[in-house]
Amino acid sequence: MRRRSRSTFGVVAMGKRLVLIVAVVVTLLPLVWIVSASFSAQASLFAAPLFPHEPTFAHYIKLVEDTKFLRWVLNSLIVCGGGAVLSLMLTTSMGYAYARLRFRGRTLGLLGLFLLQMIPSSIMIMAMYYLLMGLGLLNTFGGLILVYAGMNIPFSAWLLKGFFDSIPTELEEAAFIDGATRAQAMVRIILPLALPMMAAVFLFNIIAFYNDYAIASIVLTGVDNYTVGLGLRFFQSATGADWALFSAGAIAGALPLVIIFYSMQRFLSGGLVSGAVKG
Amino acid sequence: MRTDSSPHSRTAGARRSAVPSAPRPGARRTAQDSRAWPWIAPGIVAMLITTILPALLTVLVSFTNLSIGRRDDWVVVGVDNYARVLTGADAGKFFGVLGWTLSYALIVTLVSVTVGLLLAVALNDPLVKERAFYRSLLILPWALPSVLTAVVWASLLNGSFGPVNQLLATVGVDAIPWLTDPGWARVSAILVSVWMSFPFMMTACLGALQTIPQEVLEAARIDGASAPVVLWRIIVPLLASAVKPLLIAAFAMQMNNFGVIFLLTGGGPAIDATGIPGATDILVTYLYKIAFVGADQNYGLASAVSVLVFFLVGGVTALGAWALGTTKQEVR
Repeated sequence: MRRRSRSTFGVVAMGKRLVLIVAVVVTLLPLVWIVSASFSAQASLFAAPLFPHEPTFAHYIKLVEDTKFLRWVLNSLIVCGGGAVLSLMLTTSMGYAYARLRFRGRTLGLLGLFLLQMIPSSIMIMAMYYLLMGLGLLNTFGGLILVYAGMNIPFSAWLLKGFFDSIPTELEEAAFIDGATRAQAMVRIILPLALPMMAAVFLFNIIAFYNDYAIASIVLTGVDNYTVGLGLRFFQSATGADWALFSAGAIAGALPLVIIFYSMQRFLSGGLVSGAVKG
Repeated sequence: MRTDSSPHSRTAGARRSAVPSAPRPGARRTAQDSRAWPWIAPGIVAMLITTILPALLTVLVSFTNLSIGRRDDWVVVGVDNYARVLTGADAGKFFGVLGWTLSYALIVTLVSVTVGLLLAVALNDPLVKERAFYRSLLILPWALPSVLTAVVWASLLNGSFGPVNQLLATVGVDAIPWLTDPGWARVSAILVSVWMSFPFMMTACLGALQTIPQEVLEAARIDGASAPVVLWRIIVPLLASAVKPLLIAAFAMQMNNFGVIFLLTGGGPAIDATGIPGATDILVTYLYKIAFVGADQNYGLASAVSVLVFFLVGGVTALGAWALGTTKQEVR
């Protein structure tokens, strides 16, 4: 009996399967709704049947031709990608220094990072607004990229420092004996080993930036400069809640992040766990 | 992740005291300092501009009466803004929002970690052969941008013609005022936030679970432990050290979950004539409204609330970390 219950189609596995299937249905139901709405012929939202009788691409075509949607997607990719790359460069070098170098103010710096990590960026939006205005960066992508790159530094630097701590110093020491400088040893030996963690940090950041509404809403003004999140919200009210068009926009707007996410997700759980243990 | 797979590891045995990384307390401090600066300075400059200076500016503004109508004739008012929020006219509003913020963050964190853990346990069973398939579907809410899914949920939960209520109508349930009744709006905010955040917890738990050898779980079962006992006595304690820091981070994240609240309910529905705060406003959306939405756009007051939020989030996070750290020592 016990043996039979622990096979692929035994009681235990079937019970777990049932839990998972219920969870999948609950998770996907809202998505099925909007996917079907985006292909449905009626623009008059909610009454649409779950599986449209005559699927149409009309809303997607309208999205591209009549709205600035593609521009918003491009804007999002520029600011989020730019912010994530810049942030990764800053925090990799920082994390490495905190893990490997001993210098005055190191402990204080680490403590500072820990404290700064607790400041939610959304509580400083007014001050950021004035600061960017002073720097002449208001309503520029450069300004938003700078804010994004700066706002998650403590979290990313901690994760990366924790990971660098776990790499044996002997690896670089061998390189130093062969005459390498620290920068060479770091780039040639340590960076390749740290790539999975760097990928995880990059992914965390790009998700956070793509999901930002508060900061983008005060930095960027003007329809041409909107990110996807800003644009679709604006556009839902401006077009009198065209549900089908909005659904098409939500799906197409989510696509870039979904693609990035699924192509990089194998780095996530490793990043989470090792970062958590060390950080 | 494994460093021993590196081609360099064979040469790694050699260890010399002359290598630059060896920490030598006191000796050649200045040389070390100058070597460290190029590595950390760019990041510090970026934080200076985007975090440290705005934080200081926020503190300064919190002692003034700066607002949209007083851009040029603002004056320093000392701790008036703090007094107004903590003991004065706005104390009731502030503590009401604070209470809801804490309960919202706590409930969402606990429910999503519970759901995430149970799903992770199911996904960790090698007998479920097609588990990778379920996992890649269950992770979807994490992959989708919450700035979009929050707006989608707002439409789905629409009281009069939203699909959720239509579905409930087919099984004979009356329309639920998901977003227009204060109580239900809070329930909606929690449900939608859990929907968005359980995949993160599931992934974290699964990552940690995979470090527990299957033999350990198998051995417990052979010794006659039931599934709940295995979960509670073996899996939870072994997972605790890896997952606890994430709980703290998730709790702090939920306390500042601006996008979801703002885009789902807009902080509403209104519970008084001003509408600020609404029933689902958390501290960060409350202060955003004080600064950018209300009639007087009071930057000074919003800054004071910001400073208080910082100490509250910091304090609660530190307290939680300390409390969980203590229990960790008891477990080991």
